[in-house]
Order: sequence, then structure tokens, then C-alpha cells
Amino acid sequence: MSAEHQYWQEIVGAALLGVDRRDPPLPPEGALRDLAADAVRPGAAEGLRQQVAAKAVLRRAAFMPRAAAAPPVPHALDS
Amino acid sequence: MAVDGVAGEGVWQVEQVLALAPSPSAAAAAQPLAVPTKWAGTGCSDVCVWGRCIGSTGEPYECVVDHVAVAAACTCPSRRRPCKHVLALLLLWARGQVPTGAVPGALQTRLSAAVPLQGSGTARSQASSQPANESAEGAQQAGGSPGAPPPGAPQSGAPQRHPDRVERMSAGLAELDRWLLDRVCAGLAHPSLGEYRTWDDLAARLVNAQLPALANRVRRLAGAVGSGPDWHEHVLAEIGVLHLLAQAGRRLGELPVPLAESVAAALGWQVRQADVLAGVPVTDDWVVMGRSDTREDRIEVRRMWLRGRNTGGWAMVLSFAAYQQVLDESMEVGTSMPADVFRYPGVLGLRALVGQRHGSPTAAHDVRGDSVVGACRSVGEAIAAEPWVERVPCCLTGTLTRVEGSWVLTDEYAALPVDATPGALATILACSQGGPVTLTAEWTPSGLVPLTIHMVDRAVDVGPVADPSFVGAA
Repeated sequence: MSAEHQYWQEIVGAALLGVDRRDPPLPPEGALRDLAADAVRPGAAEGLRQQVAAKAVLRRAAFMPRAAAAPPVPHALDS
Repeated sequence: MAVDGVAGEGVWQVEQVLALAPSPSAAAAAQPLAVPTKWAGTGCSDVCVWGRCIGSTGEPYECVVDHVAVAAACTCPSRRRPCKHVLALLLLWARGQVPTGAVPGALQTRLSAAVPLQGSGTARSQASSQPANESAEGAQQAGGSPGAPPPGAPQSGAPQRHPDRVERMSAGLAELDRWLLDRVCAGLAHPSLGEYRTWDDLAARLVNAQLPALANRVRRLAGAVGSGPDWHEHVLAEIGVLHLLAQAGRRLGELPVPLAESVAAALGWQVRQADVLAGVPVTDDWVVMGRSDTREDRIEVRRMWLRGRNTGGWAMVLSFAAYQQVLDESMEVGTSMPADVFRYPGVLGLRALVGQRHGSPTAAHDVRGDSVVGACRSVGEAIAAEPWVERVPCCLTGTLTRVEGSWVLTDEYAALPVDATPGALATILACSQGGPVTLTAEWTPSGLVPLTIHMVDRAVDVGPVADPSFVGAA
């Protein structure tokens, strides 16, 4: 699992339980952390909401295709 | 994607309609007719309202009102202008009881014969200024001043012209943001998320705040709760996008104009068709690449995806149908036509109107598909430009196959997940015979939704279709 994906899974985990029960993850260094820090009155909940928005948008725009797959194999016809 | 099937801006207030009545008795005579049971075939666009009034006598009266130019035509023998049927139809419309739809072709000629009410030109300003003295809301509801917008103002620059509306919108967006915060605090596993009321109350408040597109988005999201194994990831991502829109919507004034236009459209701010048609068209040979119908609350929405043969740009033409109304059938998938296309304002400017057509449609079977990686790049660029976009069109070539129980479209380098009905999958498999095939598809968060199979001698439409029991026959 890539670090990117793991971070998203941590966000999902925190959002599933709620900030009341679990602390949000710390965003990785870089643009995402700056965006998350930009939240108005950055409490834990505001911070998570901001992280959700930043990471969700990033995931949608920077989606990656999967590895190529094998084409379907036709069944041999009965002779 | 803004679905503005629900009439919002531009709809008159009841007081404005009554102000049109030639006498108090005419207004009184119209009231008993202003009930949906007295009408059939009603509809409205952002230019006009129409319907058949079923009177006590045998034949129904055909009524059409141009609510922008304030002109009306009615087949009744009355010499009063406007007659009670016109007033009743406008009352019905003002009360939100007329569904949005495409103007039936037969009405176009009648519309051009419409007679101006209360003298031409000034009628509208009378209509909008009169009740404004009584209620401040009247004027801003009426859709702005009758004059042209100030030079340099953005076309959907309604925010500047409607200070009250901006205030109400900001309050609605702040409320949405609080609601999102509550979800994050309580957690998505909280049982309240599965309750209809949690979502419906919010959607109703967004409608009141004149954010109909956001309300639709919230209703769609409610339907995603509990659907599929990873529904909470999808719902959470949408919560993130809603937060982005709630923030962007409150900063409209700080955003560059095209971005502000895109945000306003995503919130549900309507742009008048007349303003779009006043822009500069893109003239090209437009290939009708695909068709996709979705149900949006009580309205069926049809998207026709066009692509300019020379410019390569995509355009989306929307049509709407309320119960038993007809969707746009004027364009056939797999044909192309030389035409003027007018784009709505915004960064992507995908939504468009078809203006004049310069020739009849001809078959277009020479469609070339992008590679999977190429499609990812162009779709990714579109999402980066408007991150709230829910559907991005692409045309790509690949082989449909199954990996670990789920369908993907693959070429020799990469693959993308496919989200299609069993019928569409079967048709693609049959047409492709297990080999590469060129598809037009909508990219959505759940994968590629195939719309069209482009073959050498024909195009096969496999896009999602409207519920036949809901829409009327053409």
C-alpha cells in the first residue's frame, strides 16, 4: 500500500469513527499540510474536514489507471 | 455539474403576476384556474411558460407566455389582455407548480405571435418594480434589472446584481459547512447518516438558500449511503468536495472570473439562455459522441455529448423532462452536423447550447479513441480545473475484460474500471468480440460509464436510458 493511499485510509478511519473518538491523522509534509493548516479556526474537526477536502480532490484529479490486464480468452467452440 | 432543472432565478413573484392583471376582477377570475388540475401539458423554460387550460367548455385553450419579453398568446376568445388563462398560468408558475422542460417545437411559432402585455418593453420593469416597494425580495427574485448588465460584468455576474441573494446563499453555505463538520465530528458510522431526515432537511434548506444544484448533490449523496462495500469512502470524498464548494462559494468575489462562474454554476446559479446565445459561438462539425440520461429528483436529465471535429473540444447539451414530458431527440448518436455551439461561462465551459445548424446531420464513423493513459491525462486535467465536476467525457480505445471479478477497459499499458449495466457490458462484449473497441464514456468516481460503441460502420448507443414509464413518447 502506497503512503498516499495509507494516508487516505487514515482519514477515512478517523471520519468513520468521528473526531470525537479518534484524532485525525497528520497530513504529509508539503502542499497538503499547508492546505489543511489553512482551515478556519483549525480545531481537530475543522482540520479533518479540510484534510478530507484537500485529499479527496487530489485523489480525484490525480487518479491513476491500473496495470494493464489480459484480454478475455475465448472458449474453444465445440466441434 | 449544475442541474438546473428546478426553476429558480427569473421566476416571478405572485404579486408581480397580479400586477399584470388589467383589473382586480381579472385577477380574481384567474385564481380558481390557477390550480394544476385545470391544466395539462404545462412546462417552463428560462424564457417562457406554456400549457393547456382545460375549461368548462369542450376545447382546451392553448396558452404561452414569454416571461422575459412579457408577451403572451392564448387561443381563448377573450379580448382582455392578459386573459385570465395567461394570469392563471403565470400564477401556477410563480408558485412553482410548472415543471421545467424544453419548449415544444409547435409553440415556437405561437410564441413569435405573442402580444406584448401592458405595452412592450416597460411592462417587465413595471412588473418587477411594483411589488418591490412592498417586498424587497420581489425585485431580486425577478431576475435583475431589465437593462443590460454593466460592461465588464461577468455574464452570470448575478452575484453583483443580487446582494440579498448573495447574503442568503452565504448563509446557506455556512450552514452546509456546519453540517459537514457535524458529520466529521459524529463520524460516518453514526446512525443519523442513514436517516432520510438528516439529508432531506439539509437539501430543503439549500433550496431555500437558492442553491438548487447543491441540494440535488446532497440528495444524490444520501442515496449513496450504504450502497456498496466502500460507500463511506465515496461519501467522504463528496463531503470533501462539498466543503470545497462551501468555501469557494463564499469567496466568489475573490476568485478569477471564469472560476467564479464555474463555482456559481455548481451551486445552482442559473445563466439565462439568452445571455449564453449572446456570446461568440464555436462553429465546427460537431460529432454527437454520446447520450446519457439520469433521474434528478422528479426530473429526467439528458446529456448529449458533442465533440468538435476540428477543435477537439467537448460540449454538453442538457435537456430536461418532468413526468410524461419528452426529452430532446433532435440529435442522433453517431452523426455529425456543422453547427454553432455556444458555451456557458466557466473554466471548462462544457455545458453548451446548439445555435444555428449549417447543414443536415451525416454519419460519423471515423471516431478515433485515445489510449487509456491519454484519457486519464485529459480527464485529470478537467477535474483539476473544476474539482467538483461529476462526469468528464472521454473517448478511448481498449479491450473490455474482467479482473478479479470486476470489469475493466484495458489496452497494452493500463486499465480503468468500468461501471456499466449488465446489458451494456454484454453489448460491448458482443460488438468487440473480445478485442479492442472505441468507446465514448463518462468518467465518474466509480469508473467509466460507457455511452457509445464506435464501430467502423455504425455507432451503438449503450448509455443509461430514461425510465420509459416516466418520460413521454416523442
